[in-house]
Amino acid sequence: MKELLNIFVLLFLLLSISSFPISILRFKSLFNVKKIYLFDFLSINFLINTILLLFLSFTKFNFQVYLLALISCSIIFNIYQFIKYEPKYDFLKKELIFFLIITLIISIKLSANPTLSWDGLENWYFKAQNFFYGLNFFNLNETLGINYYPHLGTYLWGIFWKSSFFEYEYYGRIIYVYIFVLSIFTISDLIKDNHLIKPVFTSLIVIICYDEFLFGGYQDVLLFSFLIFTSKYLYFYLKTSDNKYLLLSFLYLNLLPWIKNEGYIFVIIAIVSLSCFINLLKKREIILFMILSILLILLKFIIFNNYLSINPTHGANLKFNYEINGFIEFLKIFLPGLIVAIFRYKIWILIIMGFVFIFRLKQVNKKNIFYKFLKINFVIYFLSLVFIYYDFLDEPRGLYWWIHTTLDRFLYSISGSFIILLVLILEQNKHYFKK
Amino acid sequence: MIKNFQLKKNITYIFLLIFLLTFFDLFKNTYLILKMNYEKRLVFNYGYCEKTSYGFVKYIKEKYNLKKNIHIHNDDKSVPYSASFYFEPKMEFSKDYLILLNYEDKKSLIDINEYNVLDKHQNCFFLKKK
Repeated sequence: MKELLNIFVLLFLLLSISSFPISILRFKSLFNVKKIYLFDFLSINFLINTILLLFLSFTKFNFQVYLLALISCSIIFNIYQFIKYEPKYDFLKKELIFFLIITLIISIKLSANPTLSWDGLENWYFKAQNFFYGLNFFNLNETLGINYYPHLGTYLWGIFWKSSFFEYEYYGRIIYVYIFVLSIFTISDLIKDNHLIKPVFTSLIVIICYDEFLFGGYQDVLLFSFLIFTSKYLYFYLKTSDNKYLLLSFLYLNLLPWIKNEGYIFVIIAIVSLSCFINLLKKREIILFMILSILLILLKFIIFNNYLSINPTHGANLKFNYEINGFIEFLKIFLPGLIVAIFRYKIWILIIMGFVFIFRLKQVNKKNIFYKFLKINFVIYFLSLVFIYYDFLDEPRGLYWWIHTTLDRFLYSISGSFIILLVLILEQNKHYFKK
Repeated sequence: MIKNFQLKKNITYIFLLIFLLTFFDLFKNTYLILKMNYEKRLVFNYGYCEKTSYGFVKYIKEKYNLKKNIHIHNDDKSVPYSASFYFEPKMEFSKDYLILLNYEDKKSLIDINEYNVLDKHQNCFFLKKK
């Protein structure tokens, strides 16, 4: 019973850290936060706190002091706001209750089977344990596991593990459940229906994207969720040209390389895709976006090179076989592997159907810059997969091993970029469901 | 009238919640948490002296309480390493002790004759170099 109560307490903790510091802005006219939807409010707060925690991971500062301060501020500001401004406060919204119940249900499932999956047990656990013991980034060289793997996700895992009453390891991973559910609710907010389509769609995405194996310590869930956030704010930016949204997508995107090395690929693909629209967008901001992203990647390289080690290609040697027969051999292994990986995660079936749908609508394509952006993104992702896995052709473990063990997870993360497509199609065609 | 209206508005959420409770096995999971404590659940899932053998490693750690990390060798290569069940940062590795899991007499890379057996459970051993 106490274990279950601890899950409730952790959810309260998570909700608290997602309710601050944007609450402060409501008292100033700096930011028109009254227009912010509930789940945007939670996810932007969470983003700000994650960035601050990333800085803390390099220091010896006690993260529990930070969390305590955050919770205190959050409670004070929210109670004040509740009394002063909004008697019909967000906490009473049924969407929030629905969100909390889903998070609770999945957390209880995680609690019933708290085992770690392969990489979780062999690599990521040790990083989380390092932070659990109050050590910081600079101690990661002294622990087990692969030291060139980034640490942000495991830092979050470690601090929530430490912040639970019983200090059971799986409590730290409840934050992954929270981010996963929050990202799906945030993207579903684009649907302007509250009673039927939105909750059904949200539940469907939660069910088909939930993978018990990945919640066993893998970081792909975080990549998936952060890509959902990125895609939503990029959509707003392309729609409104408001720099606020470009900044938000920039921040979410550039946290990815600190979660997993594949994050670089997502940043580079976003840069290439945006550069295709540079004439239609504000040139200065987009160029700044690109330069800063590249600088942040270089910064991470320098930090890892100095204190841990770097291996961005994960064992591949970037020596390509240019013979046509070699490429045909590669395709014979890669394409069946790709089909198997697509069917492993059912969300891809919906995404491919979505692309077929928008490819058929020529008029919509011409008007909608975001659809064009998604299509370019999709093609670049496919070409990148071919490029990346072709490089593994001569790797000692063999191409088959790489495809068998990594491609499905890679595709799972990528799917986060394209769930927005399903939301937009549904939003545009929801009148069919109401007939 | 108002109640009917509220019910109509919330009926989707109610049905979805019932479906999700069932899909994610909420009742079975709650029962498991209430019935088995954390350690038991880990032993149940990782195994005592099978698979990653969490139970045996934890037993050795608690019984001998050595102030050093111990190397763990598992002859079952179809499961991940069990080092995380014992490892603690800032402690050096012992050169004398070894935990041998799922020992397979003919296939094993470990020659058990080079060690004294300090503890044993089925095919799992706690060994000290002779």
